[in-house]
Amino acid sequence: MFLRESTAGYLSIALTILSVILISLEANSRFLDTFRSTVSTIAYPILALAETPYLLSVGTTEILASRASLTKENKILKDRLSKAEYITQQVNVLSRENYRLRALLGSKSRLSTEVLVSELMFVGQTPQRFEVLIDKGSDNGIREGQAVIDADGLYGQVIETSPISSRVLQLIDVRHAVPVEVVRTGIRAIAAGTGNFEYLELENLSVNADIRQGDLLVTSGLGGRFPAGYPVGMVEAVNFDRTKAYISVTVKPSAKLNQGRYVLVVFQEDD
Amino acid sequence: MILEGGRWLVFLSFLLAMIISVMRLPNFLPDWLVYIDPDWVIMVLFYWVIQAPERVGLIVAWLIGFLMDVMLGDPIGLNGACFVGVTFFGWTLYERIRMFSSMQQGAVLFGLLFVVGLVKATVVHFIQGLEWSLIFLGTATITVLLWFPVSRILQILTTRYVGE
Repeated sequence: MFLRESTAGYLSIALTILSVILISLEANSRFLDTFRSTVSTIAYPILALAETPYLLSVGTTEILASRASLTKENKILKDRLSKAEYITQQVNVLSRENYRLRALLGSKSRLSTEVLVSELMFVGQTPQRFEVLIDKGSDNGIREGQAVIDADGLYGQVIETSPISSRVLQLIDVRHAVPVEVVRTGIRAIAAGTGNFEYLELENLSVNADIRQGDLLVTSGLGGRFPAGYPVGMVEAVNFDRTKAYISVTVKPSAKLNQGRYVLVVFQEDD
Repeated sequence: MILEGGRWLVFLSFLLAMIISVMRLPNFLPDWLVYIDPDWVIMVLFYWVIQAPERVGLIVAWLIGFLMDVMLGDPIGLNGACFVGVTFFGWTLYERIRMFSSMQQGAVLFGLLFVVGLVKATVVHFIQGLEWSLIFLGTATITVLLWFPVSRILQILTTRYVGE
């Protein structure tokens, strides 16, 4: 008994020191990336089980949906589809024209992009951490750093992959920032997350910058991480404060960050 | 109390605690429930380390920590260190704490969760750059409130299915 207690003390101290070493190792190097991805493969069944109550509730809602509401939804979807098809036709024509014009100018054509549809698995629950887990991983070719979008705009980026799942950091997380440009004027800025679902903030915009409420922001593609031209958000408010060197601009994200089940992972084709 | 065949109950309760910690809420429940985020695993760990210390090992607790790290996105080793701390604390004092009333046990648990929350918030702040906040006080309070029914249920299950 005494022996056991005394060894327990040493063991506790050893394990704690080992933890500290692991934490600092992970903070300063990438040695533990494969370990993390292995452990997350082991944890996958637990996450899948944790998902069942939600899936069951969604299933029940679908079964209990009335015929009338389904017909109505179907009609709305058909309308949206025909509009989307019309826009796609125009986009095809325009992108071909754009390609020819660029060829005439002799400039490099834009990188073509492909997307992979994936489903959300687990939504990080702490009020500070805005991460989601998606059901596609390195087996599907997903790599760290890829941009993720949803139907309405930029959603975030992949920060960690395992063979069967990946973790996505949403763009409202305080650790996230994305280079953007204003569609109307072409002004470039950085949109940083605030830890709040409602808005992003533009950093370091000088007081005389031409930006107003309602301006649309898209990714600028600078920095090479995010492909250019995806909507990020709409300027919600521009506040001048005479005592500060910069204006504070709040932006409402376009993506539906707390609803919907599907996101698209963007693959950029390098030449 | 020595649990003869109690391993499965310990295992199941840990598994359930882990699942509930990362569970996605059914869509008919309101969104604000996300903010009620009790620390289920520490609650269950505390129960077993008090009631059946011979059933909870330091190394297993540490390894379970890895699973939690990966699922919650914490730095690797953080949850493990916290679980080891709780287990060692329980091992040292379980004879005394077992004699406490439910209220007193809740108070001890609150103290543990306070320290664990403080450590976690600080490490996550410095390593991952998250904002340091007092959210862990809410977590500790809710966990202690849930501790009373959960410990009662575990007690009933133990006496019914495992025997003293």
